[in-house]
Amino acid sequence: MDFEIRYTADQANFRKEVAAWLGDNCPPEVINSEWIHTPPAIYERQRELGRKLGAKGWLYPVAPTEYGGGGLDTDSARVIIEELGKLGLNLPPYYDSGGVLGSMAILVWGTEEQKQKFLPPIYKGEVRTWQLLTEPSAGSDLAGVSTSAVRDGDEYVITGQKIYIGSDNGAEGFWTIARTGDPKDRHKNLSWFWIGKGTPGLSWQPMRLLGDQDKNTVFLDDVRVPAIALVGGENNGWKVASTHLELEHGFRTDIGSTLNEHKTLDRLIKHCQETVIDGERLIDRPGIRDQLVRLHTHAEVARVWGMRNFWMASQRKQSYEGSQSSYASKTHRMAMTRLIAELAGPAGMMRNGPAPAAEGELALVAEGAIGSSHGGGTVDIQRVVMSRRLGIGRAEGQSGAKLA
Amino acid sequence: MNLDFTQEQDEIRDGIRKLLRGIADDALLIGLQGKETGYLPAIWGGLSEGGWHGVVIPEEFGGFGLGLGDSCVVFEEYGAGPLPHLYFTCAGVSPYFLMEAGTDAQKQRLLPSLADGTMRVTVAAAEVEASWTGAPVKTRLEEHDGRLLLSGEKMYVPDALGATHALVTAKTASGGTALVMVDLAAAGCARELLRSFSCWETRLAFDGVEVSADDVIGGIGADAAPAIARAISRAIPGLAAYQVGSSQSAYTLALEHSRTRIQFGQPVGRFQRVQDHIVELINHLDSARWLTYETIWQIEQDKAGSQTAIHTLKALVADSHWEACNASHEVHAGIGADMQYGLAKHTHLSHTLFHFLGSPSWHRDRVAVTLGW
Repeated sequence: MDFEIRYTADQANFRKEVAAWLGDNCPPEVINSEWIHTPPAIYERQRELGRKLGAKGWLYPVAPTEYGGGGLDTDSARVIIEELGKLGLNLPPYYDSGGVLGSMAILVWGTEEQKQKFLPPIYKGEVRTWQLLTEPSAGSDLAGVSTSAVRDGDEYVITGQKIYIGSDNGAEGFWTIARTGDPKDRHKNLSWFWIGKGTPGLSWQPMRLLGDQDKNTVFLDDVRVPAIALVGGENNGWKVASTHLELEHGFRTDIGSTLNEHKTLDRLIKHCQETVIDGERLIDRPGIRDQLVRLHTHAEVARVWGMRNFWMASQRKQSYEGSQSSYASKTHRMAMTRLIAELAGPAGMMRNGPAPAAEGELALVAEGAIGSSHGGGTVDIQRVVMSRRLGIGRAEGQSGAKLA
Repeated sequence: MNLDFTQEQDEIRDGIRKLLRGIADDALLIGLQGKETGYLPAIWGGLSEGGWHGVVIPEEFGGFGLGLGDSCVVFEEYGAGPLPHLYFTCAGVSPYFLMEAGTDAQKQRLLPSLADGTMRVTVAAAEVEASWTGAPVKTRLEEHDGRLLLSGEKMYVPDALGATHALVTAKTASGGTALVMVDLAAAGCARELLRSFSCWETRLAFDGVEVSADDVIGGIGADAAPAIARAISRAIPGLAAYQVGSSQSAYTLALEHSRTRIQFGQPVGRFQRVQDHIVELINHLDSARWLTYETIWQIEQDKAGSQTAIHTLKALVADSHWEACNASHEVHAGIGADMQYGLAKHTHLSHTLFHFLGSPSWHRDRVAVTLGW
């Protein structure tokens, strides 16, 4: 086995090229900027960087060139991700779950005409998309959505309500799943639609969630979309959604996200090294050291699983591992929250005042942990996915959704 | 990056798996439980024929001289049964003690006998008031009238009743640590099986056992403590692989049971409560498995953080093996508690190995120290 990603001379040169290009093109105010709560002025600069990356094919580097992607190999894509990471940025440099996840579903299920129409604007960074999936009465049971889409001539008319959507600063394109068939035909009564920018009848209201997250409630009132907006055929939407959710549940071809556990932990360790309470460094207390090492161990597992998942995804061999990692990181964040309170004391939950632990960073992580344990599928849903893939109580494990 | 096993490793796995299926099948291993020793001539001899006792011993000393990753493939298969831990200790722990602490002459003299299975060498370090990794051992090696005498008591020794020899740690008059090869048939040496929630842990008592200068590994006057610490570190990846193999079996049993056991008119694995146990089980298994593989790679590549990785690994695997077995029991309920079913031998092993080569809490402390906290 070899756990090291080894770059060729060409890729090393490519890294230099990417770094130099970012040096020339990345607006300074975007570096280390927030992914959520992004002030509009900063957000505009993030989008500007996105369009520039898109023009080079670096926004969606492994996507096919015929639809505006970069057509690069996964190693080169990782070079871009790593170089952006050095600037504190993700790829894309703004929140675009609908683009990342939704574009895969189009690649798998779209017609040639749909790929030509929908993919280039995403890959070029011209539209940012939200995924309109969860509803007030359909959360974990996504197949139970009640938003309806009714055929009317060459159009579909979509009506319903979606919740916990996107982030701030809006979006220009939307994926949604709606019911087109008999309510009794579970999993065979859904269809997947694209809703373009400015379509009448679509509106949203910001909602505040625990952990200071910005999400939205989206209303669809007789939203008319052309027939070409139906992806994957009528009543075939569950399969399209499954491709989408395969990525949502942790199938990843990058390993960057797995370093987050260590990032917060390192911050907590630093805090415990620098903070003296009752005349003693926090980290010198045996009980605290022991708990920090336990978390370090969890973070190491998350890191190694991230590499495993990356390897398996690149070999198209991944089955339950994505959900396993997702489950682990969600529960790990909750454990981390508990430990922040335990170790950093009340200062760990402060965002201001004379002595917020780690300048308030720990409080932000702690606040976000509960919300992120639900987003993209609850902890329990990850367990359900794992159970099915492993074939617990079944003759054999289920295979993953279709991917391009 | 390439996380596949090499073709050679696949062949090694096939070889040992086929052999163990023949000489140590599940019924035989279930039958061994509760016996005085896990040593069985038929199993031992079969392994001797293939030279498996010497997988980590260099070729110049009569072994296979396998690389770390290759030898861990073997020990993972040892864990699948599991073969009793005497077999693992003799092949995966004692050789490192000799290789790290022994003089050239001692290695030449002793290692070939370990490799061919003539000597079955266990390791005796812990005492009533001293842990595996603690310094204050009370066992003493002292010179009386020109004779070297060993006195004291060792605890939690892997299967001394099945071993021919033990490597024993002792204090010398100078205050240093000596490592002594003791023939367990020698006069003044007593062995006793401890009754416990573990398997084949034994007590050794030395009442002025006479040893020769040649038996003092590294020579008289040498402080063996640093060599012992290195040996423990070298043995941990193999121990982890051994426990991964056992955890995998606990998982396989649970998965199969979830499919075949019918209650309330359906396989019990259709119940999410049961599924949750198996999900936790595989999370523990995969934590141990992938940290083991990466640690092996780090050591092979001589990475800067490999010592931290070794301590992290031992602490994690002790926990995960234990929890994997517990979760499997929750899935099986009464059936798994039946000593004739085959799960209990893994559970006992997980308890036996929990403190072996140092307790999890000691290794966690070493993680903090090596990270410079």
